[in-house]
Amino acid sequence: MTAPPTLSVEQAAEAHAQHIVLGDSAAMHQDCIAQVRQEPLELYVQLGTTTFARYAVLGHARIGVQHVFKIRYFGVTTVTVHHRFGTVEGQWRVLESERV
Amino acid sequence: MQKFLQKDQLAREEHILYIPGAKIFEIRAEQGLPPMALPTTDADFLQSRMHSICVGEIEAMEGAGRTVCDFEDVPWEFTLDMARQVWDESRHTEIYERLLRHVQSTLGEYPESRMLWECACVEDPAARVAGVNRGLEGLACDVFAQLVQLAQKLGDPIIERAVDMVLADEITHVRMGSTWMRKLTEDDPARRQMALDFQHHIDELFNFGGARQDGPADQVSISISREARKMAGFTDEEIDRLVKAASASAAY
Repeated sequence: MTAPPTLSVEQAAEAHAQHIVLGDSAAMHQDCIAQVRQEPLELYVQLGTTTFARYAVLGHARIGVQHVFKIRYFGVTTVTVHHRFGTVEGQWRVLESERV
Repeated sequence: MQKFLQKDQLAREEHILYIPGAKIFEIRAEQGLPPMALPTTDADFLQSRMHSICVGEIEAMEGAGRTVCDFEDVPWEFTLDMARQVWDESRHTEIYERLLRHVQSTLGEYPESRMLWECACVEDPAARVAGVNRGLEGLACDVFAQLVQLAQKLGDPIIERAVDMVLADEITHVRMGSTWMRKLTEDDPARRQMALDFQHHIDELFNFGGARQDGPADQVSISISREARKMAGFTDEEIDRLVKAASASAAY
């Protein structure tokens, strides 16, 4: 039986947003499954290279056992993203990110 | 005022997540879940169902409101009926928002797909009432009758009575839709057929690939309610056609 994740999904989402605002690309990538880092390449390149001053979690919705967070990043440009989280090997991971 | 708004023009509070229906179905499929929540597969079935209905009521209110605004070259009584429907849907929205709280949920806990709104964007008023009032409000008859039965099983008189009251309104909306579809297409059989074809398209879309079935309320995603549909004025032939189309969807 897999142990429950150490962080709540809300904490995992906040941590991912903080990594993006801090520009910590190693941590940012660690939050995601490999596919996310590869598929919307342009999005993560932008998130990794833009300086954001802050973020705000605008919404949080459930689909089955997965969670989608609507997070807005404020900086020179403002970007709003849906990050979808699911558990992978007992930890909440970003399964998909999409600019909205 | 701008006419014929599109789905990305709907005003929503920031905490509401819009995710297209097809995408939601895809994410559920990834998790081995059916397109629509089932009482047997989803622990949060009641919350999820209440949420989709509440959002549907908001979109129905907006849809009827847009029908008042979009069409000027229609009988005054048509506009009046649509305005009355806006009032009904706004009451339903309040009722379902309270029912959401009753089941410990809140608006925004699940995404909004706006599938219902898309159906309310068709440009012919006869097709719009056929699709929305007969197709979607017919779907509401199924969904609400199922919810009343489930509430009876759960022993929850608040849900049972509140939903039953809303169901009574939906029945009048279907009847209103049937009346106006016929009146608006009098002497124009081709237009009537187009309106009916649009309704059948809506019926097919909201069979959700077989989720709507002629089955027990606690075992299928959406149970076709012959009784409520008959009260709404659907003929046996129309109900049989829907059952047949729904089972054909399941075979895809």
